[in-house]
Amino acid sequence: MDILSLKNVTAGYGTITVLNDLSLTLRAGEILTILGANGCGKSTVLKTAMGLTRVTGGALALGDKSITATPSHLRAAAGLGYVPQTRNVFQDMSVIDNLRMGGYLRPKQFEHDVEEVFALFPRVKERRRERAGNLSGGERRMLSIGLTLLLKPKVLLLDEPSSDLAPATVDIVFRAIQDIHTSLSIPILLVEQNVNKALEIANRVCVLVRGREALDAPAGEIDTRHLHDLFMDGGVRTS
Amino acid sequence: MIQVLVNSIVYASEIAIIAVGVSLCYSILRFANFAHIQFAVVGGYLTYSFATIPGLALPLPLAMLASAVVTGLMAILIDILVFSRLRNTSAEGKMIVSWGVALFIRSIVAAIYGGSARVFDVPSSTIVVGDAVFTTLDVAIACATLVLMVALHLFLYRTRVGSGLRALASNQELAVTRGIPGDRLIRLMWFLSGSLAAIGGSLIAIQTRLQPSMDLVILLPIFAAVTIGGLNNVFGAVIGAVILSLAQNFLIWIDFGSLFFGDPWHIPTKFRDYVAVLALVLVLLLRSRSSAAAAKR
Repeated sequence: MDILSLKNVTAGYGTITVLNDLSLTLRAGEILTILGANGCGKSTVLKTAMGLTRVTGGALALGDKSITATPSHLRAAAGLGYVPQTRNVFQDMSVIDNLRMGGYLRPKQFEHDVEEVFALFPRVKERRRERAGNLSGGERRMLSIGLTLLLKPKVLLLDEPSSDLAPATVDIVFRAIQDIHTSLSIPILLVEQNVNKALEIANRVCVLVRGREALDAPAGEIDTRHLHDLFMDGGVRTS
Repeated sequence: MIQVLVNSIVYASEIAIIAVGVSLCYSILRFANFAHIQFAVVGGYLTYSFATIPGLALPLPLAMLASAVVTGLMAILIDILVFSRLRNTSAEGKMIVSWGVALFIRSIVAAIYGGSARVFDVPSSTIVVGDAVFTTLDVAIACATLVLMVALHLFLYRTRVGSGLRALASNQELAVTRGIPGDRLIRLMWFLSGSLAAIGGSLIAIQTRLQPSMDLVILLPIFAAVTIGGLNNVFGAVIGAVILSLAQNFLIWIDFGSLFFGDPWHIPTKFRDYVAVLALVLVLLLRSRSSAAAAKR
């Protein structure tokens, strides 16, 4: 079953087009990883799914409902949980207030739901009175995922969860992502630079080259040499 | 001394109540809204109308409340007609447009009410504490401001919607992707800042007099207070107003003549605004220096 689909989407920022006629589908129960070189439009896919870019062509759907013209806050209400790569917490608010904002649409269930986040990330609980801007990179990443879970999303969109993190923290974050995926059975659209980590947890991989899909294959069938070529040469094999 | 403090508190109250709206708007929409000053003027005139129109003649507090509601709605209308269409325009662009809006509102006020001064007829008795003389009106103004600022603080920090506004100010993209209805909360922000400006403008008008040109009198202290307190920080504007007001009143009170030359001499009252300019220049100089130092580090 298709959970989130982009059909022939052209999108970008202002007058700049980043995604060119891109089609992509996230299916129920899977982790789909988007890989690609810097600047190929990976993050723009997630931003477009959230309504943060200017879409000039194509259509987006969540389940069987079109969301092409839906404003961002209603996409969140419809079940899209987005964790940005940067600026992913409310820096000048406390950790607990950040979590409250994550659960903005479910204020009555907050006290119950937040315990689930604390169980997943005990470190976030320890730091709950701290100003989010004072957290370490790893803590911030955990908080950003935690506050997104409070929305009770049907789909998770994760933008480079491993970036700028120490290797040990990367492991913690990826274990948590795997946990969320299996225990809550939430399909995940993951954008990642860390190819090995991404391949470890992905079911399917999509490679973007200059805003277009260059490869879509099950993670197990990915030939890393081919990936390398796609990254370095934009899809042209040189050897 | 007590007299200077009392004067400072009353003046700071009037400035603060208007200045918080400028900060509120800046923190969320990232531009200095010069039309905000006109919200205060319009608020003053509306209060006057509600309190004096034959057949209506509301008691003053009710007239102020009605004026606050109407001015708040006016601020929302201006957003719908003008500022909402400029969300992706640069801050400078929006600021210049806000000047245009300010001039437009000013002309309308002058066209409806004319240029002559109007005075509120408010019964007020004198209170004497030690050397200080002040009026019950002064006390009412200070108390009204205190209550409103505490209420605003409780709203922003203790309610879900208020926290949503803070989230929007902190990180708009993150806020809307949490399901926080950005556009609706921005309207609410306009309502709040318009209403507060109306109350502040009314208080100034009640204490002095109502004239279309009062915008120029309050423009400088309000933007100086907001700049001193940090444009981004809602309650910084309150602190800015207090600092500015104390500086203005104390500099006029100090007998510089006796201190330096033996003959009494004070800075003339009309130079009060120059203190605001001086404070503004100092803050901008120090801030650019400290941010340059931070950049070096």
